[in-house]
Amino acid sequence: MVKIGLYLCECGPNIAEAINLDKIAEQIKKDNKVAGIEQHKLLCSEDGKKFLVESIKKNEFERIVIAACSPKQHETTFMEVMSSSDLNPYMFQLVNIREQCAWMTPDKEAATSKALRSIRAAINRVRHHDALQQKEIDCNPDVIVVGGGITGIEAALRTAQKNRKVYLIEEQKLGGRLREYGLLFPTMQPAQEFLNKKITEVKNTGQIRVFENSKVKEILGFFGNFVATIENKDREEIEVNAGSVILAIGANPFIPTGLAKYGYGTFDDVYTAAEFEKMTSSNNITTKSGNPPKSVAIIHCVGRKRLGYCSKVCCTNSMKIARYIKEKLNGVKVIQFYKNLCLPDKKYDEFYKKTKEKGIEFLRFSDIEVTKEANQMMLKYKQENDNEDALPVDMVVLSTGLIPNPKTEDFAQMLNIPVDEYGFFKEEHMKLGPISTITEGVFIAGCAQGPHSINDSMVQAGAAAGKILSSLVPGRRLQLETKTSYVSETMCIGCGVCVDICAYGALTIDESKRISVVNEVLCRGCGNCASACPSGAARHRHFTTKQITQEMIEILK
Amino acid sequence: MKGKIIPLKDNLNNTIKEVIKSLLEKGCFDAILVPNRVPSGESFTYLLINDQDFLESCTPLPPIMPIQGARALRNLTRRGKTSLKVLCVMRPCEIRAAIELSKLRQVELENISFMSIDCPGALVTKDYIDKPKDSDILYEEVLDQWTSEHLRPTCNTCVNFSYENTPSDIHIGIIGQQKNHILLLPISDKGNALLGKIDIQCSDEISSWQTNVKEILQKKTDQRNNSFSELQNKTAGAENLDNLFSDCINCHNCMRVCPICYCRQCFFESSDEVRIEAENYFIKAQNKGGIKFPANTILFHLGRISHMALSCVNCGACEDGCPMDVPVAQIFSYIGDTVQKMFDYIPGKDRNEPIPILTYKEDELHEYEDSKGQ
Repeated sequence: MVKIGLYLCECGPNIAEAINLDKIAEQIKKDNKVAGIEQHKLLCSEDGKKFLVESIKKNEFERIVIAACSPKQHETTFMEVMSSSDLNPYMFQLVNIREQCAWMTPDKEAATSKALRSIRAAINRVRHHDALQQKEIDCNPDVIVVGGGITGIEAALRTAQKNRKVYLIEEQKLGGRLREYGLLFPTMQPAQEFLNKKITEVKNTGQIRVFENSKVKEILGFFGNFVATIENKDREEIEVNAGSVILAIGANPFIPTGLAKYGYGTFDDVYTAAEFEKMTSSNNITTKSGNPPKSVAIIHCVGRKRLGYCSKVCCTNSMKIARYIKEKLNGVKVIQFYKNLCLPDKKYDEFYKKTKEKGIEFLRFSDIEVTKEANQMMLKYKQENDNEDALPVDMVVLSTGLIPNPKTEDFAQMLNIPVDEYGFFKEEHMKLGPISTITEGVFIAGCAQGPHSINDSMVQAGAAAGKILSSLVPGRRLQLETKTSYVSETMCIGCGVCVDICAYGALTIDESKRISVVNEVLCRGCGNCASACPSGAARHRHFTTKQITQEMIEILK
Repeated sequence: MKGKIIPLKDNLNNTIKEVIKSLLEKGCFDAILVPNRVPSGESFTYLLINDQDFLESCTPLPPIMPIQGARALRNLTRRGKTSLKVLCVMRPCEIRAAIELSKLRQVELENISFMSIDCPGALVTKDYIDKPKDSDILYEEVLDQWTSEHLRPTCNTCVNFSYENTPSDIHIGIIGQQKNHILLLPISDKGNALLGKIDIQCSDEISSWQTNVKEILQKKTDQRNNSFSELQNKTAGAENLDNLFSDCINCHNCMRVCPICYCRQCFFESSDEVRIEAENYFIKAQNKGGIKFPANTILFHLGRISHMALSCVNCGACEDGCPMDVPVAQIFSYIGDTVQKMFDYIPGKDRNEPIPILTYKEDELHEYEDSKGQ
C-alpha cells in the first residue's frame, strides 16, 4: 500500500488552540490509512521545512497531506519542500484547517470535527494523485508593438535591449496622433520637439525595426511564440516572430456630426478640438474669412452623454488650447463652457487657476446651442440657474472625447481578447491585471484600453514592457502550466462545447478526427471544459473525477 | 403566406408521396430520407431512397416514431456532409432535434432539406406493435381529433406540432382540410424555390387552415398547462423525485433512443470513477435507512436532464422506449420548458442561434443569484 504521511501544523496558537489536534491524530490512526502522523509548531518556518524534508525522507513517505493554512499562502512553499524531499510536488494535498476550520468558529468541537472530515477527504484524494511533470518550451523574447504613436514608441524603447528585437508597426508615420499636436499639457512645451526626440531615439536604437505605412494582417500563436504577417509600404508580406505583443493602437476623437445643436458641419468656424490642434501645430489661427477670431468659445463634454463615459483628457486639453489662443492672439476673448471639470492630478488644479488668472472665462451651462444670426455665430445657452443667455462668437471649438480605434474589434478577434461595452480592449482585471489581457503574452497600453493622457499612456507602455522583460528572458525556457486539461480521444464525440466555452482559445476541433484537442501552451487549467463536457472526455489532470469523487465521499460521510 | 393546394388522392400518405415523387422527377433531390413500413408491417423505420420504385412502400406520416428522425440523419452525416442533395421527411420535433444536433456538430445540414408535416402525435410504440391493424384505424381517428389517450403523453401537450418554431423548408398543412386536400407551404427561401418547380398555382386560401392550427394550439396549450401544474407537485423535493424514478431498472434505454443524447459512450456507463466501495454504500444505507440497487439511477437521470434540458424537443422518445413506464418524457418536458424559458430559448427554432450554454453574458440571470451573495 502506498505510504501516505500526514503532517499537522499548529500554526503557533492559531490552529493548536482552536482545534483538538490530538483527537484528530488519534482518529486518523484508527482509520489506518496513513503510514505516519507528525505534528509541528510552524511547518512553514525554516525549521519546519527542514523538519518536513528530514521526516519525509526518513519515513520514506510517497504521498503527503499537510493540514495547515490556505493553499493561497503556502501551497508553493510545501510543493518546494516536496521537491527537496525527492518527491513529485503534485503527490501532495494541503488541507486548509486554519481559515476554513480554526478561524471559522469558537466552538472547538465543531472545528475539530470539520478539520477531521477535511483531512480524511485529503487522504482519500492524494491516493489518486498523478505525478505531473513540469513542461517547458523554447520561447522567443522578441516583441511586436502594434501602433507607432507615443505609446507604441515608448513601449518599443522600453523593451528594446540586447538580445531582444522589437518590431514596431505603424499604419502611417511614426508619431501617431501626437504628430498633429502643437503644445503639450501641462508643460506647454512644443509637442513636435518632444516627439522628434523620441523618434530619433527609436531610429538610433539598433534593436527596433520600424515598419511605417504597414499593416498587421494576422497574428497567430501564443505566449512565447507569436507569428505576425505584416504588409509593408511596398505591399509585400513579411513574417516576423515574437514572444509577446503590445497593442498600442490608440483611439480616435469623437466626431459630433450627429449632434445637430453644436452646428458642427453646418457652420464654418466650428471645429473639434482635434482639428483645432492641427491649426495650432501649423501656428495659423484664422476664421474662414481669413481674419483672426476676436472671440472663441470652447464647449466641453461634447458627446459625453452619447459615449457614456468621461474621456478624462478633454478638460485639460481645452485649457491648454485656451491658453494657446490667449497667448497667440492679442485681446482675444476666450470662454470655456463646461458642465463639470475633470482635473484629476496634483498639478492640474494649479494649471486651472493660472488659466483663470490669464483672463480666460469659465462658464457653467446646463444646455447650449450653436446658431447663426445675420452672419454672426451666436451661442444660446442656459446657465446653471436656468437663466437663458446668448453670446456672439467668431469661432467655436468642440471638446470631444475619445472613441475606440475602429481596428480594435479586428485585433480583439484575431487575438481572442474581449472588448468592453464601449468598444475598447478589455484588460484582464481592472486592478490585478490592468495591462495584461486574458490572452497570455498580449498586452494593451495607452488609449487602446480607454482614454488616457500622454503621461499615463507612457506609464502603461513602461508597465507592459516591464511585464515582458520579466517573463520572457532571452535564453530562458518558458515554464508552462502543469495542471492543464486534456481530451480523451476515445471518449470525445467532437460536439465542440468545450471549444466554445474555453476563454483562452486553447481548444480546437481536429477536423480529420472530428474530436477536440487541447493546446497545452494556451491552457491555463481553469477546468471549464471538463465541467462542460457531457461525455467526460475533457478532463483536468489535477481535478480528475476520481479525485473529486473520493474527496467528496469523505466530506459527505 | 401563400400555399399550394393539392387535392387529396386516395389517402394522405399517397398524396404526400406524389409531391415527393414530382420533386424527385424534377431533379430537386438525389435521395429521400423517409419513414418506411418494415416488411412485417408491424413497425416503421427510416429509409434512404434514391430509387423512385422504393418510394411506394414509404409512409411520410407513420402512426408511430420508433426511431427519432434526427438520430437517422445523424447516422447519415456524423462524419461530414453528404455530397448528394437529400430531402428529409420528418415530424416537426424530429427536425428541431436535427437542428440542435447541428449546433453540436453531430449533423451537417449542408445539402439537407426538410419537409415537415402537421403532426397529430405518435401512438405509443408498444401498443402499436401489439395490434398494428387496429392501431392504423385508431390513427385515422387521431387525425380527426388531434388528441388521444393512445398518443404519447408529450404529444398531447406538444405546442410545436405545426410549422411555427420549426425551420423546415416545405411544410405540409393537413389540419382541418376535411380529407379533401393538403397544403404545401414554403417556409424558407429554399422551400419557395422548390415549390416553384411544382406546376400548381399558389393560393391565398390558407386562412381556414391557420384558424384550425390556432384552435388546436389552444387545446394543446391548455393540456400542457394542466400537465405541468401536476408535474410541478410531483417533481418537488428529493423524495418526490425519488418516487417518480423508483421503477427505473437502469437499462438506459431512454438515453439510447433520445435524439439529443449524443455522447460516444455515456459517462454513467463508461466511468468506473463514480463507483464507490461497498463500505461507503453501507454508510449511505445507514444514513438513509436503506438504499436502492442498482444505485445512482436518479443520478443518471439528473445528469441527463442537466445535459439535455436546453435542447429537449419533447419528442417523447425516452418514455416510449422505457420498459417500466417511468414518465421520463413528461418530466423532461416540464423541466426542459422551465430551463428553456429561463434563457428565452426554443430548441431547434433557429439554426443560427447558439445553445445558451455556449454563450457568455456578463449580465444575466440575476434573479437566480443568492440574495446574500456579492
